[in-house]
Amino acid sequence: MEKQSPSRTLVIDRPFGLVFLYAILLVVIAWGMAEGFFRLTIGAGWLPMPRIGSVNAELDTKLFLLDKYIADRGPVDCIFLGSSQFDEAVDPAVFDSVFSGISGRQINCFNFSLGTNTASGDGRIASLLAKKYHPRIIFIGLSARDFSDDFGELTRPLLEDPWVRYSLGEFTLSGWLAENSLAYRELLTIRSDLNPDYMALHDRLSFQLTESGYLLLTGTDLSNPKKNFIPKFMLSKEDMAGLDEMIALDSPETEMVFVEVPVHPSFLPFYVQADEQAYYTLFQSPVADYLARSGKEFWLTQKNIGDVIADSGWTDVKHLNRDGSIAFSSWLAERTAKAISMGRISLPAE
Amino acid sequence: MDIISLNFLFFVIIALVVYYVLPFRYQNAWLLVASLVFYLTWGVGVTLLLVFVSLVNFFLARRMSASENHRRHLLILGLVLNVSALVFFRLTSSGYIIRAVEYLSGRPAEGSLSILNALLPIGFSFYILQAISYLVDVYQKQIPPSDNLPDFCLYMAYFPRLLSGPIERARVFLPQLARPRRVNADAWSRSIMQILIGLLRKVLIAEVLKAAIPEYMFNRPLEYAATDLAVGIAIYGFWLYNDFAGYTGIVRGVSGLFGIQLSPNFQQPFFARSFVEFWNRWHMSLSFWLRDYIYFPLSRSLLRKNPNPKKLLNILVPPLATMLFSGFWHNLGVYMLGWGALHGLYQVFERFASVYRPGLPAQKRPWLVQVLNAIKINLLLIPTWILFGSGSLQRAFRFTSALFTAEGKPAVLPVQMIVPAVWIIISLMIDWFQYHSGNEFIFLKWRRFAQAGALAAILLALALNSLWNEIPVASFIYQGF
Repeated sequence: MEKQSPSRTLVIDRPFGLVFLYAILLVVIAWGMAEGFFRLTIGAGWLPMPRIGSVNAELDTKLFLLDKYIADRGPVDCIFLGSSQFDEAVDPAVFDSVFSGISGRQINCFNFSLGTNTASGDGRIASLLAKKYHPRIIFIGLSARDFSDDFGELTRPLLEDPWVRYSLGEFTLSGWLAENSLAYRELLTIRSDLNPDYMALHDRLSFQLTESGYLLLTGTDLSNPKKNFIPKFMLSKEDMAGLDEMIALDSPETEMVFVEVPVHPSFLPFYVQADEQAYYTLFQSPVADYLARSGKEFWLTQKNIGDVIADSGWTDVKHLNRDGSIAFSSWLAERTAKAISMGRISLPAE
Repeated sequence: MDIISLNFLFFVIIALVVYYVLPFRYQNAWLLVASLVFYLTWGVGVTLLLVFVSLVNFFLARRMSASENHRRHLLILGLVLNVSALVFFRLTSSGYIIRAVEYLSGRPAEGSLSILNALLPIGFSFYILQAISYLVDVYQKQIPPSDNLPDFCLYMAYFPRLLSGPIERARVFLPQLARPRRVNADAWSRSIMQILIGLLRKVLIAEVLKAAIPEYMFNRPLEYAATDLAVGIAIYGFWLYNDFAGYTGIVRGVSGLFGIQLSPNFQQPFFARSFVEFWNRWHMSLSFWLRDYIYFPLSRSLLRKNPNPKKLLNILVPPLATMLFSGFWHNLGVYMLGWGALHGLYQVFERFASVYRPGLPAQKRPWLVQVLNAIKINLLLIPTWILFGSGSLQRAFRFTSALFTAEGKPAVLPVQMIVPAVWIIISLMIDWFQYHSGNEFIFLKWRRFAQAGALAAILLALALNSLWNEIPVASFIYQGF
């Protein structure tokens, strides 16, 4: 029989909330058991490390490959970062080989470029990589499209991902769990496995990416649509902020090197406002001047690219194929070794 | 303020804490204040309109009761005012009036004429039916007119049911306000159960099903493969059900915490074995309103003129008129009248069958026949979902044609159907447990460990969903009516 006061509405007449407490206990126990199981099995190598399960399949794949690369070879010395153009332009294995051949120094490099990335994305990802992996050099590949508002939309979801935000210092519960709980990561992996778009990209990349993150493409098709690729070009505020962020990362521990990503000469007249001169006056010179004001050099490649890369080295008018990347990676390694020997960039002692 | 939002959670907590602390004589006033504050988050204009409608109907009912000679006239006046308001907002929100004005004047409607493009105030369709039912009940002397203006305003404005129902009857609701409420541990358990199952349906099941429906299947059906469209329309009804039933569960649970019971709105509708039964299980508060204030009066009136139940008019008119009104209540578009007509025709056929070839009641037939009948009803519902979801008669026909002819690239892959299929099964399982036991709260009779297990699964699923969606604010499909 419940005791009632005539004026009381809330009358808790028996122990209440036990089922809720049992449910919480069940969740904690089940989660704990799952966590223990995955730590044991993954630690013993019986199960692969689950993915971060972010919004971007390429980010997840590259993180997985980078962690594996580090596990196999030790800390990474240099990272290449840019959009798909840089993804396909630089083969770290070729770079490592040519660089060590010239300088006599071993170097471990990884290509962390992400398709559709822009300068604003580069800034955030560069900060994340510097914080997490402490590379000694970060090469940033910059192209005109990386600074155009027309392409920023594709990068935004990546930067809003909870794990990316967490890794950059903003606390998100999902990011914290993805970083610290293998059971949660397994759930994220299952979730992304059920997304056919994600899995289509993941499967393709698993086939195309090398163990050092290089995106290997073959074939050549230089057909040129001859359309105005960026009709109204302006260095966007968001992307310039990304450039500032990358410049700010420059320190004695991490050297930032900025490289102009080339396009095929036949595409240049259609790249920026359908005017070849506009490419130089609206993109190349302003970016070079901006970097120079911060004491950084912009490694230019476009003007004489025909001397470095033959027509057969292009998979399309904006991207290099396997042959082209060997040539470009070798050129970049030579340039880097020379810059180090002249003291223009410093590679901290091993 | 959306029901699925942190703001609403904090609002309910504050309203509840103050409510429990207040003595009974101030609780109704507090609930009224809270309800008006809630509605103010949707706009000052809509709140003033609600207050105005409440005042008009309150005083009309009192006048009607006080004046024997003019009772009928006052009832007619009240009905005309309420129905006219509904028609006005339906015409303006569907764009008919403004298009007519622009056509006649030959130029765009600007300035003061822009009021002709007014949207339907949220919740209006629901509380206007409450007002109509109140006037009719007072007229028929089923209830005395309320002499407590704040309580009557609370009946109209009560925040848990204000946006999308359930449509409450004054004869059931007002007595609850007149007596002290007691909320004990059992009431809390039932309310929390309703809220959790409501959240499961709305936040998890409905959102997943909505994402599985091809986005432009009604607008551009030919861009999809026929299989995509078939899968989409098969999922559509489950999505609509879980969206609306989820909302209803949440608001009924919230109301239960205040000790006020709201009417059930759904009772496992996909197990219905006839369309009459379907409408006794789907959007029940609306169905019963239509039955009591349109269907029965129309039937009685026709039978008085001709007592033969087999007469064509007696069979044809009540269900058709009732469902046409239901279509109009949802939306004034021709497609919704088509939707109503189709449902009306289904019921007409059933009436013909029951009058000319009466058989066993549905629940007494062999179980296999019952199952087949339920499947038949669900298949016959598909054209009604097409009309309901398409937004226009033209789109509905185009979609229907595309179901058989579309040759677009398949956008829906089998792997994408795994999670939606699992959630549909879970939805049907919840329904099955309740249907089989005849008890909405059957889960509270399970062993404690089983309850804890189910609760743990729901909490984990909700937590994961929240983490993965960063707590989205979701709007119910029925808030558009």
